[in-house]
Amino acid sequence: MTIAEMLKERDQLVEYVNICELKTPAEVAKLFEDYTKTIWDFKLVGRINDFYCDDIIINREGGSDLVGAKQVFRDTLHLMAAFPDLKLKFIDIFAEGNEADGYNFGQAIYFDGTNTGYSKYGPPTGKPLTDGDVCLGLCECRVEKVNGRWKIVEEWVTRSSAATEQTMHMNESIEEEESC
Amino acid sequence: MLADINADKIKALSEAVKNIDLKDKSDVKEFVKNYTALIYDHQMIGLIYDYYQENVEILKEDRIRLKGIEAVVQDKQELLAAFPDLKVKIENIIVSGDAENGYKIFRRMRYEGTNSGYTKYGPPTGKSLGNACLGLSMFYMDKKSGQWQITHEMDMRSIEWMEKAMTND
Repeated sequence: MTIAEMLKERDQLVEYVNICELKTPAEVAKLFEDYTKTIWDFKLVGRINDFYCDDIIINREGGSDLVGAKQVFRDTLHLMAAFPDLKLKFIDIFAEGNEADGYNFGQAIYFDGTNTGYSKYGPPTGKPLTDGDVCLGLCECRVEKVNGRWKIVEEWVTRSSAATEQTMHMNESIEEEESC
Repeated sequence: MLADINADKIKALSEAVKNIDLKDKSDVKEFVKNYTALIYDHQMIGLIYDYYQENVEILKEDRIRLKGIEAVVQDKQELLAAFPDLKVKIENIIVSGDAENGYKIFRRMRYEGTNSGYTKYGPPTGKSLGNACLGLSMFYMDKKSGQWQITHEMDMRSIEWMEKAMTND
């Protein structure tokens, strides 16, 4: 794909994100699929501001919940830096709700990419995230109008954390740590 | 007697899910609530054979893929053996689709229980899961030969949380 083609695809997604009014569950599902791709696949990280509340609560699998949009930025940037070719693949997304009461949507995705950047675990390992099978991620989001704008106010996430961390770990360093 | 109360509950729930006809989304939500309670809260693991397609595949955390109904049964057996008092609390269910084309379901729940059974990590620790152990799953239901069945599923639990409960410090 050329840069021009990539930008065309990105701009189509951005346009829908900009004009979507979230009138139906189907619109909500399409919006958040396109929105998520603009952030992850096209690295428009600043657009986290569009739909994340300042005081969002992200309930994570290990109990280490994130509170606040700043944490979302930090978490996103860390993963992107470790996997510069990261792409987010949607398996499915669907929503329920209405304009008056807000919406909940559930999505299933997996990340595809190679650890060629530094991470908190050390230097790049060159290992792919999809190794034999996919690193699944599931999440549910609650979407409500806050000060007249649609926002994700709470999120529940499970990621394949152990497999993702293993991808960023050199085997040697794991052995060293275990022998200490 | 507690056993009598539980026996009556199981009978009522089993009756509610038997020959279920999922006409609309509210039927689906009711079915998911009852079926989940039967499998986890009441250890009715054998009902998996009623509602999962034989060659079902379940994609799980950390690149694990369960292939076939026996692998699904084994997965639930291991969980319940580790936490025999396991209870789940469903927090939300999202349903999409219709009776003609099948349904897509997203379920959010929390696991609660105590590790009082042996696991691959060793003897029971007596440690509790607490109340933050998250479980998310997305699954698809279709009518196959007149019976509603789960055909595909993606299911993830707070494995780190569970491992903490199953291992000594």
